[in-house]
Amino acid sequence: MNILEIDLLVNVENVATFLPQQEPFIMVDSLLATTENTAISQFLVKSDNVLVNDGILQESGLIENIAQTIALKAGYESVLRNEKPQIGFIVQIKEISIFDFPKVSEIITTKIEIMMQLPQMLVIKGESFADEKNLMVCEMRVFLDNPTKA
Amino acid sequence: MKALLEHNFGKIINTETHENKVIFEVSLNTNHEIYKGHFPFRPIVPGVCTLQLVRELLENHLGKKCIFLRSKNIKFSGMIDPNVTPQITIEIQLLPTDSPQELKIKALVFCKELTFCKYDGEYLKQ
Repeated sequence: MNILEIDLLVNVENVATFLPQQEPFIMVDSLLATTENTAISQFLVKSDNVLVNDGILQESGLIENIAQTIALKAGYESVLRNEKPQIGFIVQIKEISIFDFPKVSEIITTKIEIMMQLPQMLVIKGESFADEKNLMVCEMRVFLDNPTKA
Repeated sequence: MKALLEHNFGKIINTETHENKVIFEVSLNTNHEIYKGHFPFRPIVPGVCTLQLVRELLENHLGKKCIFLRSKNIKFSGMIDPNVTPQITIEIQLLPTDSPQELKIKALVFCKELTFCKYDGEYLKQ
């Protein structure tokens, strides 16, 4: 899939408006597609990423990318409803396996699927890839809260 | 960019080594650039950074690179605001494994009675 050929729902230019996280801690670039229960995002690993070490995005970055894909889907839907993006906190990660770590200049494609949705809790299954290579898989529980004012 | 410890995210202020267990006291740097984005309205230690800290402490302790492989369960039961909790305790228990390259741990991240993160992890020693 060539990211330039399709209309992105959210792209690297405006991604920050859909997320409570801001630079230098944004770990997702674009939202390619969403359905009620799924979302697909992409993320380019850059050398100045705060979670890159020795040219490799570490486990922290891979896991945060899954969490922020959920946040981006939720944030995108909040903005469509004229609401502020909610903040998501990871409360549990289950059955996580990391098979490979992406290098600088690789693009990660991440797919999440909602397994269960409660008013303030999401249970999802997440997977990420670099090209066809499966990087990781996990199950994640995210607690959603409204942002507190500064 | 550097690993968290090298990049002054936190500093080891005490290490206690027991048989199959090591306990670190780590002070957190409130001014780390990560908090500009996580979050702009309130600094919170990203849960994923706690996991990475555990791995880096493990590498320090063993003098070897450790690669994260898998975990059955990682539980975050509290949030760390480094202004409120400038110092945390990280307890790592080393579990027996079948081969010397494998590393199995149980980790606990807490401050006094407050538990922030609890997990089991498997790593590959290099």
